[in-house]
Amino acid sequence: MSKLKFKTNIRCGNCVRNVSPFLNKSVDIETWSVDTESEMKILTVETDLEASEVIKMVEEAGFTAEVLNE
Amino acid sequence: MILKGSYPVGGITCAACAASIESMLMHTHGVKDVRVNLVSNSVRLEWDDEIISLNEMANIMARLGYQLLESDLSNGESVELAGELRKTETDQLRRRSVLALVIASPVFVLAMGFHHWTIGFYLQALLTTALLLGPGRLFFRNGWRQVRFWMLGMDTLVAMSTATAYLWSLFVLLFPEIIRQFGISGHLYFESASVIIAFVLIGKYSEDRARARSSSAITELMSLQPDNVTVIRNGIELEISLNDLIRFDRVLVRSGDRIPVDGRIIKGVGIVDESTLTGEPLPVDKGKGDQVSAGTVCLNGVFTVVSEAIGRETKLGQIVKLVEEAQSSKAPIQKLADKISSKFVPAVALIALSSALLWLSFGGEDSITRAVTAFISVLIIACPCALGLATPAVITVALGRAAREGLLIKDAEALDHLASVDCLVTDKTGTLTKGTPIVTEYHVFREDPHLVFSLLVGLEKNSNHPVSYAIINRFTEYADQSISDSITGVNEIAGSGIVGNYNSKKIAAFSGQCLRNLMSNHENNELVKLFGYRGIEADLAGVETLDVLEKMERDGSTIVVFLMDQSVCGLIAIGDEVRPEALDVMNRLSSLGVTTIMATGDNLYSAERVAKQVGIKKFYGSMMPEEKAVLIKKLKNSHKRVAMIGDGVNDAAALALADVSIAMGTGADIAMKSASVTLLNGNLSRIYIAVKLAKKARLISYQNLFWAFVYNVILIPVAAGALIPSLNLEINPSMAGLAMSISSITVVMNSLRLRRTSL
Repeated sequence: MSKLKFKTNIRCGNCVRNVSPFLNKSVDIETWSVDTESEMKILTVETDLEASEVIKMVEEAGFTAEVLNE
Repeated sequence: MILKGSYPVGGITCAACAASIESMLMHTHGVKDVRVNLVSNSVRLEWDDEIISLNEMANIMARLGYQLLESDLSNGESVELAGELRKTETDQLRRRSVLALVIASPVFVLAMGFHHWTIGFYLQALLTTALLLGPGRLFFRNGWRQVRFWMLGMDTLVAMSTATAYLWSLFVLLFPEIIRQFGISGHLYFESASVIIAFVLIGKYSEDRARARSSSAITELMSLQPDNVTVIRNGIELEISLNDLIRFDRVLVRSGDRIPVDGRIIKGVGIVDESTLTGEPLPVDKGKGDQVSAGTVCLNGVFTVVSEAIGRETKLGQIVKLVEEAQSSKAPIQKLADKISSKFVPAVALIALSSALLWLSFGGEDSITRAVTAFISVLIIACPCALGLATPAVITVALGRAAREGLLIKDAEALDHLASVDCLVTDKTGTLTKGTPIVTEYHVFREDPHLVFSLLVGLEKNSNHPVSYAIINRFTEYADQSISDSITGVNEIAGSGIVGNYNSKKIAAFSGQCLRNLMSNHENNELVKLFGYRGIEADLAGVETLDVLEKMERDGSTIVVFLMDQSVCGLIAIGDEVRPEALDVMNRLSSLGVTTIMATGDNLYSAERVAKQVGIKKFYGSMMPEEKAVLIKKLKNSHKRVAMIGDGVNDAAALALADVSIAMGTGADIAMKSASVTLLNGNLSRIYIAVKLAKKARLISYQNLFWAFVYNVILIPVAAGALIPSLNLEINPSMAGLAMSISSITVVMNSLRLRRTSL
């Protein structure tokens, strides 16, 4: 299980609600959360999936994400 | 857009009400489907919301005199509201009938005993007025509604006859001069009016109670869903109401929680009691990726579930829907009474009117009285109000008798169907078996079995799992307490088993499936990590151990594997004990000509094992709830009446489809409440008694129907005065009322016979 971080355009509560079903339904994502207060709208995901797979899910929901290298 | 939903309705008192609502709405533009459920007092609507709105439909119904509650029955709140509404209506009806009886009795006494006491006459008038304006009001209200929409029913008849009797008697009482002037004999018929109202109200109340009892089942089924749930949204735990849940929401379930949705576990493990859905008493271990269902209980553990189906979409919700639909297609026998009335009433009114006219024209002296008496008498004697008593009377007595015999029977229809049952489908677990797991078989692969027993007992003492109880019960007497007590480091791993240490050796007890998982040496295997095992060598007994395991599983039991370090030392099979009376009952039923069939959700092997033990030749295994329902449907085509015994909500849908549904009193309450028959104390032998009682009750209800109906019909011409010219035999309203009372009393007395008759 690794913790991945992404920069996204998930800006507000409504956006979070829209992206939720797509991230929620994956059995391979253990936990996820979006910090809408942060400038980069950071999405933190605990998962065994590859970053690219997570990005695909976010894009399916109609948002963008790119890996955040700390 | 086409919308649909189920909504509670207030003001429904009989089948005619349902019919008028359905016909009125079906003819309204935009309404696609209307189905009134008489049992739960609700209506299922399908409509095009671009043409008509729910509110508009509610207004239409209000004009008819019915209140539609615009909250869909798919959420728990409105089910509760509907239940309360129903209870209020039933209480109201009860109060009315009691009041009516209280008022009618003195009137009857006065009329029978005090023929010349003038004040008595006024008293009668006063009391009857109170009766008509009070509890009797509903007949006039309904009767008017029925006339307006041409759906004539019993109420119309009752209203017409009591109104006429009352008004005429009032006229006679208040205008004695006119009476004398026309030479009319001044008879009063207040008691006829009062008695009719009282009896019919009692009949309505009995019917209502019978219907109300079955609707509580739905409320209970829906209550298997919790009101509040904990969700994880955007990483934060929130408590929200079940209604606010949306698809794919992640729900947190903790020990003791009822699972609120259908879905898959994405994190965590737990032990789940699925007995409400499957009737299986042995809890199931669940982990990541496993499916869980709404209505089941998490006994131990914590896990997160992603909601794939919510509310009505869940398996539980589907079962509720099936039960509701089955119930709305099974209206009580009173529907027949009202149907008869609708043809009957116009005919009777016509006869009454024509005989009145005949008398007016050809009556000679006192023709007015003759006309009026004929009119009222015909109406009263034709009034099929004993029909309202005929079936409820048998039901009540039969129910009482049944209860004394350890049976809970729901209504007349159940009784009638029981009498013609020729096929019985039974569930296995909890029905044919006791439902409590016991150790059925065990193999020990060591020279010192008592060490194994002691260690097993020592481990299982620390768990509440039913399997643990089974093991403790069986092996405690062989166990050495000091050994059991010297086990350290005991840890119950929810969903897998128990581990511990003894004399620096690692010991563990867990399920056969777990053993296989461990042996497959999967890299990320949680169990490997938890137990610290790398691989199991079953070498103490060789490959034979796996063979034994397989054979035991094929026998249809749950297996517990006991390990010491890396060797399998014992295999214990846990199974379910068959009820001792089962074989006898099945044989007796077969001799009555009833085909016995078993259908269970458990695997085919365990089904076969039990079927052989109880003498059932045809059996089905691994049946899902829907498959059981399909089986019942199929059997109904080839048999007269199909009965089904079940236990648990998983049988609810199939039970609702069966002509007679029988629930074990030791099983899920839901099955009990919605079943036609419940066997209290889980005693299977009562089924045989039930059938015999049903046959006798059927005979008596046919007799009752005769007294309630045919007898009255034969007397109509006499009431009309047909025998006056020839035999000078007339029936005046008092006698008509008496004849009515006689028929009602006969019905009651006949029904009481059922109390003593031998079974």
